[in-house]
This record gives sequence, structure tokens and C-alpha cells, in this order.
Amino acid sequence: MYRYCREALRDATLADDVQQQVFIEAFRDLPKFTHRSSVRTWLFAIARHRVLDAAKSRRRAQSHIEEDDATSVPDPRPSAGERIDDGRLRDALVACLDKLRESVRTALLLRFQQGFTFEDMSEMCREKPGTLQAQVTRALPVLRECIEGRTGGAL
Amino acid sequence: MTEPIARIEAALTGLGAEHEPPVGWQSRVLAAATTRKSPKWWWFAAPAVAAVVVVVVILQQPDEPGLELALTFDQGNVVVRGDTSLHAGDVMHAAATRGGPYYAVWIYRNDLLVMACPGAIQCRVTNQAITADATLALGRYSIVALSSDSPLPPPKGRFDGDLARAMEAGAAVRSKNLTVR
Repeated sequence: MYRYCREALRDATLADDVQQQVFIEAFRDLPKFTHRSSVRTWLFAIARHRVLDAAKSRRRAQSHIEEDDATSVPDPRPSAGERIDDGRLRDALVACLDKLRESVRTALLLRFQQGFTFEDMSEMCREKPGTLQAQVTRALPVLRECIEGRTGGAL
Repeated sequence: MTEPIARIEAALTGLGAEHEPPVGWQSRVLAAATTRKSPKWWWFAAPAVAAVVVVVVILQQPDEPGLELALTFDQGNVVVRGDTSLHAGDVMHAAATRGGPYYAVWIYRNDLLVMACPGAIQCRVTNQAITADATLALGRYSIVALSSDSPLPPPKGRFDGDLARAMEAGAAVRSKNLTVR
């Protein structure tokens, strides 16, 4: 849960707050839990909402702070075409995830970082599984292009 | 699936694996959750509870004054109660009666600690009360009076965590909120 909040928000303090908020809400709403999904799916559905709320609030508060995350670009770059090592890949991936729409970033994290099926994600995101699958499928080549563009190397 | 995409998927899978939630988050959640239980049943029971409380208060006059928190404000030369027309630059006096041997007044703006009494220079302590004087800025304030028979845990800076720790330590708490626009 914390990993998801942290990577979705890119802010340790905010992630801590949101994670606490999720569990407080879950504690409060546990009697209303209908067991139509697993507890994990239910918790992440709450988390997804709270992460989106937190991101929205932060955006409103800091709308003037919109700078390119150039400092996180690995430096020096590998020569053109050189294979990107795992460290560079991770750094570039983090930067490139930030460039995606929040709904797409959420879908990618839920799918790969958390290992949810598209059916589980469908319950959390109130989207059709096919829509989510299409979002993820479209996002991966975009990420690849972004990563290779940032690092100058090849995956 | 091409190998580059598989690498991205693998990197996504391991993303953030090095991060662990802050130590003690479970106890903070539990403390906060138990103080924020749904008030719905109160909506129906409130009149009866209020009546019982009135009777109990009348019948059981306390031997010692309990923990109380009162706020007054200086707006120029005018001293007012209530927060309906507060502005940046107004001065707030948060006075708490001392309900126990250990006591404190903590003031938070936007959930971050801006003053802790006793300790801050703007604090006045008498035998009966502790008063914190704060010049207000824009934002949402939470003012907390605490009292305890045992030492209070020092505040670390965030409203929820500080309050949860204090309540875990058995402190009595009174709090008020206001917004300066």
C-alpha cells in the first residue's frame, strides 16, 4: 500500500498521510464491506480514490510549480544505442511515469507493481477491463519512447 | 511481447521495493481511527445523551476544574470571541486551564505545529492556566489543549501523529479549529 501511494504521489510525507487515511477509512467502513471483492481489492480501491484526491489537492496548491524533472535524468548519458542499465532504466521510468496522466499511471502501478488482474482493477477504477487493458497496452510503448529519449540508450 | 517492453514491466514491478512505511504507522492509524469513529448513531441519540449529560453535570459538581480551552482574539483594539471575522495579523490568545500536573497547548497551522507551550516564548504559565499568544496567518488552525497525569510525549510536528501519541499516552485533549481567510 505504501509503495503504491509513494510511487503514485512521488512524495514520502504525502504517501504516509494517504496510507494512514486509507486505513482509517477502511477501519471506519469495515462494517459496510460486502465481500464482493477481496479485502486487498477493496483497500486499493479506497487508496486509488485518496491518491487521486491528494494529487488533485497538491496540484491546486502548487499549480505554479511545474518544472521539468531534469535533475533526475541520468548523467552522463550512455552513447547512442548503448543498452540502458537497470539503474538508469529505473530513474528514467520514474521520470516518465510522472509525465503520464494520473489514471494511466494508476493503471500501470496497479497492474505491474501490485499485480492486480484487469478484472480487479475494473472494480477499483469503475472502468471496463478492456479499457484498462487498452490504457496499459498503449502506455508501455509511450514509456519506452520516453525512457529511450531521456537516456539516449536502447532498452 | 518485445524484450524492451518486458524490461519496463519488470522495472514497474520492482518500483518502490526499497521503500518501507514509516515506523509506527499502525499505531497512529489505530489511534486516529478510534478517535474518529462514525458519529452517525449520535444523530439519533444526541438529544437523549445531551439530557443525560446535563443531569450528570448538575448532580456531580466537579471537585477540581477540568481541562478547558478558551480562545480570544485581539483585532486592533477590539477583543472578540469566536472566529467569524478573523484576519491575518490578528492575535489569538489560547488559554487552557491546567487539568493535571502535565499540560500543554499546541497550535497547528495547516496541520503543522507552529507553537508548543510550555516552551515557546509566547507562552504564559500561571498556577491555574497556560496561555499561548499567536499572531495569525492565513490558513486552517487547530488549537489543542492537553493535560495528563504522566509526562506528555513531545510533539513532532504533525497534528494527527502528535494527537495520536498524546492520546495513546493517556492525555485528556480539548481542541478547537478555526480558519483565517
